[in-house]
Amino acid sequence: MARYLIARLGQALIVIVLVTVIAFVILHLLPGGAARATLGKEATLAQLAAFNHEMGYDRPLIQQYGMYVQRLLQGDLGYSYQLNQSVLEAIEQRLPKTMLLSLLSTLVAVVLAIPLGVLQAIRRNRWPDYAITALSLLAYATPIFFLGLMMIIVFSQVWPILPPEAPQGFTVAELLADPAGLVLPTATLAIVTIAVYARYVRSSMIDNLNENYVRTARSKGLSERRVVLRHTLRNGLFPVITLLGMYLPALFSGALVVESLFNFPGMGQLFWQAALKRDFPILLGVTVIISIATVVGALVADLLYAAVDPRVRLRGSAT
Amino acid sequence: MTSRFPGRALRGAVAAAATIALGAGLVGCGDNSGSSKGGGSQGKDTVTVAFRTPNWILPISAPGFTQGENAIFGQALYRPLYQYRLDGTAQYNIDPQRSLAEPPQVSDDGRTLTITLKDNSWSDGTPITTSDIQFWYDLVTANKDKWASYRAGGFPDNIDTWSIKDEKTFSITTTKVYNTAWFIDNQLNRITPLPQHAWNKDSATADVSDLASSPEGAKKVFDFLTAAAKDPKTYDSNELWQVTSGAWKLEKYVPNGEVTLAAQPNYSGTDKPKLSTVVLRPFTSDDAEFNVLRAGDIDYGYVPAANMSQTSYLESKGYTVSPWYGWSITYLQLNYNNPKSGVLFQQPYLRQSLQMLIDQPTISEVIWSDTAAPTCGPVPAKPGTNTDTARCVYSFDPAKAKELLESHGWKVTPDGQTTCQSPGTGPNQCGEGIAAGTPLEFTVTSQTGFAATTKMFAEIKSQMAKLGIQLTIKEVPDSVAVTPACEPTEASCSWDMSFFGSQGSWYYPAFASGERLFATDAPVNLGSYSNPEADKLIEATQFAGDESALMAYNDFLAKDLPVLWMPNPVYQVSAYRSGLQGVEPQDPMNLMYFQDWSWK
Amino acid sequence: MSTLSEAVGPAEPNDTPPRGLWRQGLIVFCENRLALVGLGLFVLLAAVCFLGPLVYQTDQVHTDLTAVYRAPGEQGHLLGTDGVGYDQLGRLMLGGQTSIIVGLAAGVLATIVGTLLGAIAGFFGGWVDAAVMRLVDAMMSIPSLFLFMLLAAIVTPSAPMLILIIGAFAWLGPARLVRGEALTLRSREYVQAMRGMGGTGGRAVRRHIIPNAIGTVIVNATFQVADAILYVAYLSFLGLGIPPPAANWGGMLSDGLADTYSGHWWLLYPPGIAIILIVLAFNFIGDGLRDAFEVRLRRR
Repeated sequence: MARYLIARLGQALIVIVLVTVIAFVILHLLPGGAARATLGKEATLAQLAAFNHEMGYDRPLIQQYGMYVQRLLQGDLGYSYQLNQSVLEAIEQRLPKTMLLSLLSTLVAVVLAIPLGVLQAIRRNRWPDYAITALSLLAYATPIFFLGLMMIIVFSQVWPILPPEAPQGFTVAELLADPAGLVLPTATLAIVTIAVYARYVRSSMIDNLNENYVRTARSKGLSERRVVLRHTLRNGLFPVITLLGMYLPALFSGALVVESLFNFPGMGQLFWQAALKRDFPILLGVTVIISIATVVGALVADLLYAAVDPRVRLRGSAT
Repeated sequence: MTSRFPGRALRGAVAAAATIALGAGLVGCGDNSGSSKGGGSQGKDTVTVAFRTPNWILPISAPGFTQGENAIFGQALYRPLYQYRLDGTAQYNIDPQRSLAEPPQVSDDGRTLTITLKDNSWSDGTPITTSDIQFWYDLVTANKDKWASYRAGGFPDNIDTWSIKDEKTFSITTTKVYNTAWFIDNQLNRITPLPQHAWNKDSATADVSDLASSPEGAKKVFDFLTAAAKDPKTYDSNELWQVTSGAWKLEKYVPNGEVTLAAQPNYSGTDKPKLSTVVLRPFTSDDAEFNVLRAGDIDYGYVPAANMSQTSYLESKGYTVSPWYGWSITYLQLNYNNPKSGVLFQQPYLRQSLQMLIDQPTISEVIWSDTAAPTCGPVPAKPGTNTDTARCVYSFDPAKAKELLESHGWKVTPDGQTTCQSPGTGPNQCGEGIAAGTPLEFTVTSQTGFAATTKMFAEIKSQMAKLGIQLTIKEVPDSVAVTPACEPTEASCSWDMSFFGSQGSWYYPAFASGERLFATDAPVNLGSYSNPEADKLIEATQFAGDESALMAYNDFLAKDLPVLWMPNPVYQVSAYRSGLQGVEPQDPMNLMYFQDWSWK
Repeated sequence: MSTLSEAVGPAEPNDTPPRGLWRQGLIVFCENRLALVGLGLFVLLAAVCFLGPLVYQTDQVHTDLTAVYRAPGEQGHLLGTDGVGYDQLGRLMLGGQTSIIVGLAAGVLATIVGTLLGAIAGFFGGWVDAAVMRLVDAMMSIPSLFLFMLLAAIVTPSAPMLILIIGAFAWLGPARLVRGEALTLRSREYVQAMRGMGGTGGRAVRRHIIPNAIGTVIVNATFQVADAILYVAYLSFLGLGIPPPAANWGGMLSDGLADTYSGHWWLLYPPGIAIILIVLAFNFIGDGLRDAFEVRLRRR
């Protein structure tokens, strides 16, 4: 187990280093200088040069990367000239919003997806299965910005019971103080996510229902209800843990759109605005933070999974 | 195989999750106040405004922090020496009420301006004196390279003598004889008195001294103030920013979030605030803003161009919808230094035929829903006057454009590719440097995020295609960043045409002269247009004493087409609650004076 | 935004060459009514987009500012006109062509790249595997929309460019799946035996791993197509779509958002419904295909 842990940690580290390299290379392929994008059309050549010097953009790329890593190791993500804020501060400010949104919507999605998936697995290829499949795929097929807009039109314009924007505070307490504002954005993000989890629960449950131990349980005369709930569900849900870890980046992509629509300036919004303005420190910082979160998430999920299910431990060591 | 994992734990977790999710849902449903949340503040003495979060507080603008929201925020807290109005009632366009000084007295030789301050005081009661002006002057002269408004040869390089006469009077002697109106409107507009008695130090704990009077000291003070300005989360707590001269004080500041301005009780100006609080709220997108406006949650917002058809709905909800005209022009920049297409743009007949394919009146009316008006030349029409399209030298005329091309040796192939048939420099040939078979194809670098801009270029592309001129439209988030002024040999010089005017390409200070746009090597002359005649006329506007120089300059460039003139959109279409008074007139130079606002 | 393709667990490989199973799979596919609905939808939409313009001819090149925002039915415009006078139905057909082509091409490209890399990584193992998989992990931990956004800002978006961009980053899912397959396969007796007899690695990949993984790959490719169509829509929403006069459903939908309240419903709902239908169609098909390939599950 210790060896597995060390190997897994090593992998995680390599992944994070790779992420910084990929992000760095892509960013420096962006046409047009950060300087012109930041300082605007009125900036003089001298001002542009001064900016490039201040931000270190006049140095060779490899040296810039070295300096970035060096500062990163000291926990310094740099300073965003455009926001007039340190990257860490900007991320600290936005992270609670996106985390809350992601957490709430995942919670809602998982809570709804599990019973749906189980029902589908039990009633496989009968009308409940078809109906749920059709509906969840319909939700999945709807572009999230279209769905969000429809929610706003229906629930805050035509039938105005909910506000068209998310709460405006920056701390979790402030956000939770206005639960009405959270309903539409959470629901929008949750609806498209349900399909993914329900499909996963369904296939995992089907696999497990066919496992030997389930057949044994059945042959022992246990009721189907007991078989499903006591034996299969537990094992069928383990893979969902892995999915939760893996799904984080996709969630951020969705959050980007939801944030823009519901006036909820979180991480996705931060990244988008930075991309529009060539705000390199923010782009790098957000990418690094999200990938660390994802890698750590995946690691925790794997370890949990391995701790829970010995079969995986064996499979894991083959990686 | 059975798991050793205790089933209770999992069930417990799921149950807890369900409870939380349901809880959130229930609370959400229980609160039916819904859309009345937050904003609607009619009848109270507060107003909620859709407004990007300003992020620069120091009234010496730093490069990159010159956006409109910073200008408005800045002058709400710190009054500039002069404020301007363009309604034609005031001498040199100086606003007599808001300005901190009387209009300058000009010496007979025109080189010396003597300025007398009115009686005003800082929020802590200290009078505003010439030492506060001197303090500003010391800081900017010692830190020119860090000041966004500095241009080599401009202010303060063009000052020969700067002298303080007494507490209320100072005088400026210029190196040359400038056109007084130009100098007052475009140079003195930079001066903002700074609280010398509170800021003249180089650390928070140091005592105030006359440190800034030496250049080294001024650098230290400047660095200290800049460092404080680079820490926005302390804007509402840092003692430095408590001493202000403006009508408002900063009550609450959240970086990238809401900003609350409160009426300054000690404001010494005559235009006292009528409201007690102004809340500035940022939005993540136009869609988000409009949804909230439509739900009635803000008192002052804007209508995105695509939603102009909602005007009557908003009016029925008690809003007044009013376009905000800017003191601006809009154009399509041509890159004269492009190694391929530069030679084409050099040909006046070609620029003329391109211009004749842009149907400015129809585009303004149909695509911009009448929230844009044709640009005809470099000097904007006076606010309030209707743009007379007859003023435009080249009106929309595809037939004439075609004739013009054909008479200069081009083989026009409608919906195909028009090419040069007879190269050469003769009067009926394509022109210098244009080889036989050269196609007319250009790439326009335009802006993303503006539906009307996208439609406008679809229309222009279609019109040009009818004459076999192929336009490729490339939309980027920031067109200025990828279309820099460049030398033909540089890789960055491959752009043909650039558009950055979805909210107007250029906003002028009070005096609309073109020294920064169309003079050879001017800082914002992105396309490297150069014409000795234009240079002469531009210089004349800075030095000649009368309006006729501006007219001559306008007429020449309107005809010469340094760029292609495009419909000039309004800055924004404002929508505000009809009970809110004092919003009009909306300042064409994009400032907002919240102190004039009040509820009916 | 989500990636449904990720959620599809790898089907267990068949040890026997899947000859007789093709027919059985077809039967299973046909039994799945949703899959048939999906197939029908796709054929219908493709026919309308590609054959429709032959019947319903419109000018999608020239704008006409005298005929903007015509309501459906007015002057022969069945679905009205848009803000620059293009016939909306004709534009939907044109946009559909782009959406379908970009979706299919990007999905196929991603699948090919992913399959090759995944198979190579899984079969050779060792440092090749480690290198490929760490790259996959790294790229997967950056939200794909973020990557697309940055790339779309680097190049000028056009249909071929979008295919390349999406294809270049969507291969991660298939790579992972195929690698998992290959990993289990390479320990199987017949592959071991082949190596023992001196067969080359490349041959083993080509002859055994890829054909065996084909079920997983085809199912995944279907979902990739659906995702690619959605990605184009998201990029358009973020202002990084294909500029006019080219059209695609995602771009038309995000342009239509601006007309939400204008009463010009024909600019918003038809592209919205079209995009939902095509994505739904591919998901139904993929679902049916997976059942078909997992046919052994029902054989017990």
